[in-house]
Amino acid sequence: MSGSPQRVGPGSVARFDKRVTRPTLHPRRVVGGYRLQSRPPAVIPGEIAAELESGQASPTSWTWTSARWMRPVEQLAPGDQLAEGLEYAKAGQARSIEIKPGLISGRVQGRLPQAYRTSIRMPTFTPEQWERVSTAMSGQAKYAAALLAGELPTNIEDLFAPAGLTLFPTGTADLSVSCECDVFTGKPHDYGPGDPSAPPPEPKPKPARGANVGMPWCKHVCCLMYLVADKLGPNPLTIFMLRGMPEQDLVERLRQARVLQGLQRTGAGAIPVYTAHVPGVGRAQVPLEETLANFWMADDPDALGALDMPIAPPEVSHPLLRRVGPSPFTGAKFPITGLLATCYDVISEHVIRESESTSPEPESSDSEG
Amino acid sequence: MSSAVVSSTSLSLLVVHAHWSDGAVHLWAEGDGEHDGTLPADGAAAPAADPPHQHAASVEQLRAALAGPLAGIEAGTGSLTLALPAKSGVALPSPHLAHALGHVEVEAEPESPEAVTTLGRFVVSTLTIKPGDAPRTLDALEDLASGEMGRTSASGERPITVVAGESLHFLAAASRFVRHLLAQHRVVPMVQQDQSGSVAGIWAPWLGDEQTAARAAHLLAAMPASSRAAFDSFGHDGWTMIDDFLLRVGDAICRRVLVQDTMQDAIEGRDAATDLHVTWLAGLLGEGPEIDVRTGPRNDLIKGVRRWIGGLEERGSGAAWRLLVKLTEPLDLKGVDDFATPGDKVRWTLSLHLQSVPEPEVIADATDIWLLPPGAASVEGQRIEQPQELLLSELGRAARLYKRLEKVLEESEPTELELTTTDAYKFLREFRPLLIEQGFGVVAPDWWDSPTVRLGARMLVQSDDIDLTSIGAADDQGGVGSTGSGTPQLGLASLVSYRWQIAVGDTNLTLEQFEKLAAQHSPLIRLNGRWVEIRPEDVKAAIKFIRENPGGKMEIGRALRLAYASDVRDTGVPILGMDATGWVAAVFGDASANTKMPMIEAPHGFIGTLRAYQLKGLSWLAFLDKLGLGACLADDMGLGKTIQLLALLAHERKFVASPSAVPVTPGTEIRGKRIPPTLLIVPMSVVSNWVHEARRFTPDLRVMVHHGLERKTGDALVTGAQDSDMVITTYALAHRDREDLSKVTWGRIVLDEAQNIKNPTAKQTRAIHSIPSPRRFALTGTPLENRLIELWSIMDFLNPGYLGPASEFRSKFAVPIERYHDKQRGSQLRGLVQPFVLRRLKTDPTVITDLPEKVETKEYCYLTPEQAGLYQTCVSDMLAAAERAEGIQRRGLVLAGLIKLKQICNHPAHFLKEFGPENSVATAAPIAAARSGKCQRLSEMLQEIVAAGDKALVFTQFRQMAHMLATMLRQTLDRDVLLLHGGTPAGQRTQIISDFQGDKSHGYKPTARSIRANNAPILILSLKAGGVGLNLTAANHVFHFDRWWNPAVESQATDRAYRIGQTRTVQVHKFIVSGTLEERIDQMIEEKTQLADSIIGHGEQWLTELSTSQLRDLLTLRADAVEPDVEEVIL
Repeated sequence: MSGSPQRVGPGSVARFDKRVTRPTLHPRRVVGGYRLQSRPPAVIPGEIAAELESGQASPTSWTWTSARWMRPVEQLAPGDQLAEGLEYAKAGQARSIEIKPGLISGRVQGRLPQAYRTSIRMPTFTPEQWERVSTAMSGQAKYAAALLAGELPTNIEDLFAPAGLTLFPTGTADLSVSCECDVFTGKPHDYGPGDPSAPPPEPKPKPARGANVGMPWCKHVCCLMYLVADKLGPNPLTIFMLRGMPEQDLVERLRQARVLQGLQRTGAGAIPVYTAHVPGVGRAQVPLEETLANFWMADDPDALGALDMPIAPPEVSHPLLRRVGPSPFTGAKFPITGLLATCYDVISEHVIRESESTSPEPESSDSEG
Repeated sequence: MSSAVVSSTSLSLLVVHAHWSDGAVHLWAEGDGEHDGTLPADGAAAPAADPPHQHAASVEQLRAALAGPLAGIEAGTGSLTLALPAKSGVALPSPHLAHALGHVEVEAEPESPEAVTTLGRFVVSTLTIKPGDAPRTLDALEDLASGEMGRTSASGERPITVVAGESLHFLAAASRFVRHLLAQHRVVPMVQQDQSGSVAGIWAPWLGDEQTAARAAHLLAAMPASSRAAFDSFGHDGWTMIDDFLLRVGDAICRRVLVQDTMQDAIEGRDAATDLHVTWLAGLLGEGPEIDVRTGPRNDLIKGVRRWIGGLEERGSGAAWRLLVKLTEPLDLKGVDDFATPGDKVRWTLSLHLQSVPEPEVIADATDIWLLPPGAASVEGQRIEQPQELLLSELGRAARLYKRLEKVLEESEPTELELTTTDAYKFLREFRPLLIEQGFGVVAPDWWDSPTVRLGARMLVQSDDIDLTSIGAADDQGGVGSTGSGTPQLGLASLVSYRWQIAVGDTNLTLEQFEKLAAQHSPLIRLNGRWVEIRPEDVKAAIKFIRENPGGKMEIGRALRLAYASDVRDTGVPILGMDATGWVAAVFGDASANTKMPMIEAPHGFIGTLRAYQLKGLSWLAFLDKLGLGACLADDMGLGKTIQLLALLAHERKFVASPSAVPVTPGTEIRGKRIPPTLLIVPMSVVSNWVHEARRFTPDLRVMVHHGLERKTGDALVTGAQDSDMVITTYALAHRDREDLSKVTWGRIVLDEAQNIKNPTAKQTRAIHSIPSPRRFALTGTPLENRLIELWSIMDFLNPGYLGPASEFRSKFAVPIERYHDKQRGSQLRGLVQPFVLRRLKTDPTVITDLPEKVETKEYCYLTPEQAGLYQTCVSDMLAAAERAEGIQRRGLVLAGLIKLKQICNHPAHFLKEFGPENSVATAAPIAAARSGKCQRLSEMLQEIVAAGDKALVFTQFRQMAHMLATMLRQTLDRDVLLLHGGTPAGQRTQIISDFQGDKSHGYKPTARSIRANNAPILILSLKAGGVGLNLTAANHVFHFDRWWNPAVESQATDRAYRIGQTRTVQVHKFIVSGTLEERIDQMIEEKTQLADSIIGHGEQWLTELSTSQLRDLLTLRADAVEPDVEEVIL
């Protein structure tokens, strides 16, 4: 994912249909609208998130990032608006959605011919705040590894808390929403007095229990919120962009910061300027305290024996050199690739030879006794 | 503190652990002695609050014990603070040490918090090894700890057994992973930066590719928690630790090699100031990594390296889809002959596709992609954004690796690329692996990479046709060692004619065909209607090889080694095996043993029925015996190795029909030619068993036991042996009496439990080697494939010299196979050994149909002198008392005496109550198994069972004995042994049973504890606890360690394993001590005497009714029973 604003969904140009000029009873169908890809669970706030965070949900379903994103909406928005927003999101009523630092904007098709312009704003963090957080991130290998792999650790908020920040919005303090619909404008659509075809006025949403009465929520905003939640599933790092830090920049910062941090960690004093992500490793391990029952052995006692590590020449020589291509240094004349190839050969031959020549026979020992 | 530690001042065991910390490998060890409590001098660096580890050996002890592997390696001194499981502030021993100390796992009682296991901090002093020395040090330590090499003698004191802790195995594996990466060119030049910003060159292992990453993940998963126990900068994070280990050790090796090779000369005289390549290389090729560079160029260097090396990780823009190329062979092959390459006449097609990454079976063809509307589309439910752009960008990415693809990029809507045969070959050989590594999909024709079609040389061996039927069938000349009988003197030294032939896989080529092949210049050739890869260098090598090896005559043993175990680097051409005619084909040809081997019938004089596989085993033994080849019968325990050998002895003696019915003097007219006796060497513990089995199955065999203080010596031994058919002796006596035994003309020597000669350098092994014999057999139930030096030792006994000298075998086979899992060497060795080893498993289809569901055998054991002395005293005391007493008093006396006798038969310590009281069993040290014949036999058998991966139940009537066995077996087997007795609380009971069963099908979730329990294949039950209700079908062996004299009770116990859900044959082993009341009562039950009726079902009450003389008759130790050697046991 790049840091630039994303325009998602084809058919982002509203079709103009002359014949329909009045609001309809149901929202107008949108062809090619942006729909939910994943299936949110039934709206039972709190419980879902708990279930998801406990890892019981399947990976293709609603993820914990989506659930965490929806938590304030579920608490603040009136239930009916939330439910209708979900229906809208499922039906693909959003004609467009755009995510930028601090701003989500979209056009959601309601009953009027013209789609509503709907937006959600959240504060971005200052560069200083980001500096502090990314330093904390790189200080812990498990965070850095997960983030470099495009994953969001479930305890990510622990990094933001010391700075007095939260990564995900928690309420009205860091979410402000607006829409062109009458929930926000306060007036129903102008049908003309006594127009018999006018639908019954949309009921004013009732504030949810304990909700902030001061801020209105409409189904269009909720729809947008659901769609963002949906997007956070496969691309959880998008949340960083919403807070003002494009994912790429963050990853680069982590790489940079790890260099400096690593120095303090390892006694050797220096660490490589580039570390590849190794898929499948680097996940947080079981804390030592929880290994007491089987502390001295591997969980699978045969795992080491099954590890096949032939000390033999590669199938294709110098595969990595061939893959990196010519060196990028301008002005560097020395034929480095050729020399490195020789180095590879020398090292490989030496290691293979050494593994074949074994230590001399142990001296005669006697097993009697 | 209620310490479970047995204090012992002298050290006999060291469990060595290894950690990677602060840029060095740290070695420390737990010993079975007590720590003196002092810290190393430099231990001051550690926080004063952390106590020393109680069991940790001192650095001096460690240095002394590890002097061998550390020879020539600079080992420093350091210390580590470790987080280790502890109770009440005392570090708990690791399992190896706990087993040796006989600790019993005592569940923490929740109400006593001080008994709860927690992590504690402990300081240990360590030996430190530099990264560059890590691989060979770790290898050498593993060698030392494996098998017999584990014994090291510290300055003439008693030997110390060195055991490798799992963390040592882990680091050794990690160090092999480094070498694997270096050998495979999987390392990248890199720049590292320190806190001050200054930079240095470093060689960094590259783990980012799929296969390598999978290995790294596997390695991480195999890491024991103990490996990350150190308090250091890694923060107990396993991956951070491994990552650093791989980096530092890899760099150290690279640097050492490059410096040795003076690679630095290449950049000498170049200006590092103007050329960043030279700048960087200066840090990669030299002794030190430092790079001297100003800030400006330094940042360029860092950025450039990131960009360059980072290119390896580059994936396409769409993470959901990737390019897939598919090579299709030409369809139209008209006019293409066999042995020809179609060259450029035909066209191969490389078609272009996009493949879904999450759903790899979803593939979109380029032809379809160009038809899709621009924008987003969906292919089989998978969303794809901008498919055309994606295809083009992926092609661009791939074209950087595979230049030919640039050509298709010139087209506006490329769909495929045509290739000549030569190009197709280049694609398959060179570019396919690269493209796959870089994350592209590549589909090759399915014949590619098939290992069966390599070009190479096959040996053709011609040997005389001998009449195979005459070999196995009855001929009047008798058996072994016959000369002048018309059977040629065969064996591994016989000469055969051989020549070489070129072959592709299984197809032998004629010279003409081969010449045609050689004339082709393309490596892809049509052969017999299919494509094969013929590498030009192989063709050249083959021509050279054939020219230099015209053939001739050689010893068959050497020919076999050439055909099956040649190294392509020596021959220049792969050697594909052997085709043979004549007797060689019958013995060594593929699967010949099944087809050409003459089957023989159950011999007269063998009482009982041989099962089909046993007849086959008998025929095989007879066949190899005739050919003068040493053979190893390695059937699973319980398949009847003993009776197969006895049947062979009966067979070669040609007993007349029903010999027992014909009254003849042994050794006279019922035999044809006189047959020299067989010397059978067995472990002490099975002597009686052999005697019993021989008496039962081959009563006409004259068996002499060479054993005991009164055994024959000198001429008497020679005469006695010549008048016997089989002489049984023990390993220890074979060594001691080797000179006398060498004077006998033996027909053959047979080793039972041949693993007893596993140590080739032991005096005992060499002594047994030295006894002359024309024929040699070995019997063993232990699988040999994982203990190669043992295999070598046995093979070298059977067929001296066949596998070459030990040192050569070690470097050629043992090290590559055991350490590096070299599959090719493994199959070569199998090829070499397979003709001489017959191993059937109970699970083999041919065997399993033959086996009943339950097999009961009696294991006859002996009494050690200590036991015999106690037994005799006890009997005479009891008889004397019984004579004086009457009524209830007498009954009580007899019953108590009986129990004492049973205890003595079990173990002297059982009778003497040396073993700690039950409630504090955890504090009792293991009792030596060697003091009891039964215990010794039990340990031997269980070792074999564990090695075969089976599980066993051991029943005893005595709870005390159950505890004693558990402790003893934990030590001898070095495994957790489960224990269930009448006092086991219900909760633990369930846990123990499900742990033992490891049954996942019944909603059973293995816990960390049960994972360890899977490592505990033995469950000991007191008969009371295990009588009814339990389902223990995971076991396929049941031992009745002491007897109940009630078949109903015993079979009820047996049925714990033998019941619904059991899928294998259950083997029931009933232990009986020869010559004692155990044997007498067993006989009575077997013979169904009148007395037996009163025995069965009435407990032991009947005994009390016997008269004193009857008692004396029953209980007195039999002099005629084969008694073990008094002196022997002490050895």
